[in-house]
Amino acid sequence: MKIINLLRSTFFLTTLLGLSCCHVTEKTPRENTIADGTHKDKLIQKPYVTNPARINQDTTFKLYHLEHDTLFIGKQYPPEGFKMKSNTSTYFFYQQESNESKAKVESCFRPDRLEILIQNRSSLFLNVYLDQAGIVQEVEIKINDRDKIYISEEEIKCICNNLKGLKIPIPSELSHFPFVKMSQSIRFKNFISPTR
Amino acid sequence: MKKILLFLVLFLNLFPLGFNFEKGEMLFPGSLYGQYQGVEGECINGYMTCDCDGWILFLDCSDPGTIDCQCIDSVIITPPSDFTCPICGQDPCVCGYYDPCSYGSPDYSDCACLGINCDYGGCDPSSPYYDECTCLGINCDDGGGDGGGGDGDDTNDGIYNFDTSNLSTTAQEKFDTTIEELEQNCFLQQLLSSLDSISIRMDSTINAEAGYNPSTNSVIYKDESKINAYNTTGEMFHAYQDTFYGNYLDDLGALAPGRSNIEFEEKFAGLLARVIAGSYFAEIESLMGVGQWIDDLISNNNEEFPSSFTPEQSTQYMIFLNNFREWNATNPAGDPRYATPVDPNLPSYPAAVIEIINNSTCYENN
Repeated sequence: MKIINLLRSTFFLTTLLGLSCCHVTEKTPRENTIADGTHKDKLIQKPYVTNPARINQDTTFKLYHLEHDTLFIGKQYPPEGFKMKSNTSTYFFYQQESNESKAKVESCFRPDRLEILIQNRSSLFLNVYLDQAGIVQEVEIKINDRDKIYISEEEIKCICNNLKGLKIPIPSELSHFPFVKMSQSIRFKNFISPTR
Repeated sequence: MKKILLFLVLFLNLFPLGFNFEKGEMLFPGSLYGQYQGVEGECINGYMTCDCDGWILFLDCSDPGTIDCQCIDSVIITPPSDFTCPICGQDPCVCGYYDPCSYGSPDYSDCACLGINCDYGGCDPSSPYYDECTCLGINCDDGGGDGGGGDGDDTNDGIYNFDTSNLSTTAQEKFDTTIEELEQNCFLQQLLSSLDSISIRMDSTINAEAGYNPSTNSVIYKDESKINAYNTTGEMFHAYQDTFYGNYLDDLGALAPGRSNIEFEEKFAGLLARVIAGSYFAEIESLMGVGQWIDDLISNNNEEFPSSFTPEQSTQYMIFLNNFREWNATNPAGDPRYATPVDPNLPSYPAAVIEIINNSTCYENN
């Protein structure tokens, strides 16, 4: 019995030690990444949390953004203490900026990868956060779980980085906000197929 | 909005009455009595809005800060037996919905409805009786200028039934450019093609950037600078609703139940156009989440906007409509017209939007 107990304790301690080592092993590269300064490209994925009293989404999706993008993402919107000057906004088509944005998204995909998105009628929904000058500072991407299999993390990171710096006119009703959130729907079926 | 509220506040302070209201309607101060519940609201710019268990109250207040809303117990209000409404002359007298511009109203006045210098319901913003509806000319006979329904002589390009003969050359050019912009969008192109004759006019006296007059089938701009894609889309969509919903808009007062349905659907249509175009749009509080939901509706339906709504989608649509109403009822920048009660007789889905999209070329290549 004593031998069995001894073996059991030994097994337990060995397992514990092993797990501990694994943990360190896994953690080390991540710390190295941070030390390398490439941590900015780490992706954060979170499920969209809804208030069931206000919205009931009938699809499953997640929101993605770069880890260090926390200046505006995750903050209350509209910014605390700021109200719109009216409840309508005279903005309408910012087509030039919208097309520029689509081109930046498109550039993140190799032709064969883009073709897959077109064929599968995939889509993205972008939330861009603008500073007071109308410059995109941070990007959040909503991807339906159905479409996630067609888009890699590297491509998501590329989109987040590519869109930064794009200038979009801020509607006058929101011009006093410290930051502004704008959205864009990207539907790949409308893209020109690279194989045609 | 402040002026309208001021009118209502003054009006009801003059006539302290009790009304038998439905829950969800707007109540106004000076007429209420009963048991107070002590819910608090915020006093901003001399006005405050209180949500008393679903009853929206507009109160005037003198000091900024948080003030007792004096919410009433929801069972009490009963008019006295000898009660008659001295001005509205209607039964039930819901003065908040009173529209002086309706023919047959006891205070109907061509002068007021045309918004020309007049005492009652005038368009002087400093008047305590200033009324946006009146000044916009909604539901008004336009005083002999009727018949501008577009006879086709001056339609802008022969494709649509727009009578632009009243516009200056520069205004006409700007209107044409705007229409060309809208034509780039398959949904808006179908909207424009579906319209009956529309007269395009300018009127510097209207108290809005643009408006649609269902009595004269006119889209009216305040000045040339207000001829833009946003205003044009909104008013053209109202023109389409005027046809689609029969004569509903003709008899719809500015603050009548159902106004919120009509206005919300117009905002919904504008957002759908932007989602379809893939153009940027700003998130605004009163429509928070609607754009993303529209995107979902399309994504979950093989990249097409649904040709009909499921019960769950209708429920969600009404949730957004009520959010829109609530925001407009409780925020200083809100518009009381957008806060009016829902008309349960109207569809609980964007019926006019669906009709347009089903007839459009948007999904021809799908």
